[in-house]
Amino acid sequence: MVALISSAANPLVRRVRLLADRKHRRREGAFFVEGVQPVWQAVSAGLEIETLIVAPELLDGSPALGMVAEQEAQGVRVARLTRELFERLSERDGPSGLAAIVHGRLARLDDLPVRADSLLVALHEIGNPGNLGTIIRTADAAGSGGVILLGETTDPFAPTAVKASMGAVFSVPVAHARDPEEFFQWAAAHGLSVVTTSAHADGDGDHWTVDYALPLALLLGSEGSGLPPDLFARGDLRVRIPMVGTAHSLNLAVAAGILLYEVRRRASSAADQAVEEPLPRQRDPL
Amino acid sequence: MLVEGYEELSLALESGARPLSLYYCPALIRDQAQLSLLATAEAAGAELIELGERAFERASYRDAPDGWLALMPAVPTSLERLRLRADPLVVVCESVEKPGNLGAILRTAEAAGVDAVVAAAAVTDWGNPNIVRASKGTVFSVPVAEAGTPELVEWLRGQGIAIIATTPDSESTFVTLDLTRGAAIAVGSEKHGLSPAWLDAADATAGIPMFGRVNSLNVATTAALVVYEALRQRGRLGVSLSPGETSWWR
Repeated sequence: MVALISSAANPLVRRVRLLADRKHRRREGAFFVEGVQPVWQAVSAGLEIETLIVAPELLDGSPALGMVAEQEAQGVRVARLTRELFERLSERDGPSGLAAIVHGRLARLDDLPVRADSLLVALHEIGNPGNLGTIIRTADAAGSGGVILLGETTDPFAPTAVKASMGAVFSVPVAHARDPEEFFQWAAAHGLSVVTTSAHADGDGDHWTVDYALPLALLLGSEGSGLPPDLFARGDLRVRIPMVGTAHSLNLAVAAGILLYEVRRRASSAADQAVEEPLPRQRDPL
Repeated sequence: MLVEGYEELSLALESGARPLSLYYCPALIRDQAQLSLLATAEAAGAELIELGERAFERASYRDAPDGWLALMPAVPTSLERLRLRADPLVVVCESVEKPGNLGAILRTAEAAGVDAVVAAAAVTDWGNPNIVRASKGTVFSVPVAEAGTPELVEWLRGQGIAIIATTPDSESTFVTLDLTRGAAIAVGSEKHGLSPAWLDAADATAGIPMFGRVNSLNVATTAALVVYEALRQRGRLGVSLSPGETSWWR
């Protein structure tokens, strides 16, 4: 029987606590992932695993034990904790007994591959980690090549974002642009058309009638205030999601989903009706 | 039901909610500009009741109350009182748990002019304070209801509304379905999706094509994609394209 870590003074526990703080995540290029499914997704997406954290008593009988053994055989460090200590580390009500410290950081804009058929999502000052995770999930589903964060935003490696992404944060590259200027210059240099959206302004038409041409980047504003008018105006194409309701716009993640799927449909249609293969999956996560 | 917090109350009032009484505590209200809410609430028929700090803290269910609390009539949730247009568009949420998701679905329903959002086998009450917040108050303006699955299936059939079940396992893509007639778009719980009862009762199933690694979408996103496809087909928002034009989407 391997001795289990039971002390909250253990350096591993301290490290997990530090990674709850975004500054530490950024400095160290690492984050904490909890739950059988997310950890499994990180492993199978090929992320570098610093430590697998296991509570044998909680994980007893889980098929994940096989994955843990496999990783350990390949040289990944495995820390085994008492149930009590794991429960103290966990942010969940009924912890599953599996977590990991995973390496990953935001990509630079220049590291984001742009191809002729790229469909990207850019988010200006997004504040809600749940919305960000959901958008990354939807972007993955819609075959998007990446998500770009503009300015001061929430962190895609925050636990809520990782969870909401259903593991997509491990496969969809997420890049950061310091400010809108850097983003617009990069987009122009790569021949990307920027599609801006607003709930209120009319722009070039509604999203069912405009012509989308790949490669393109959708640019959406924050939950509270939407896209500032000057950024909306800078779009190569300015679209609006039609609404009959009164003042309340759609949830940001919902709006992103509607736009992503409409572009995917119409861009594919314009390209060729003979697109038979699904888009290639993203490799080289992060 | 109780609605607490300045933001929640403002949203509720904007959505046409009519509080029975409004409790406020000047000592706890940080921003004096918020006091304009008193006139709005009074105009909506609320009795205004000022409370001292201790009394307010006792009435509040928050750790750090902001001095605003209202008693509202419960959101009515019976099927019978729903008034549907011809060829209605209804969203059914089976056991959807997270207030954030239910709130996002309500916002979509309002934006899209959906006739009603009905909770089946509900695990989260429409009066949940987090729904008020996540829905931006639209829980007070979008007609909602709550029913057991057998009762709701029977009611939809009685109204001639087709049940469209969203599921990752569907062979039909949502854009190839004819959604121009009365339709109830059913979405399931975050963890398990729709139960067999709804899949069995469905007149058609709708899948959403996935081009990446994940094998499902967020429940509010799923509902929105199908609702907006229905609107697009119906031309309700000024554009009409027929279903099937996009059959290249397998």
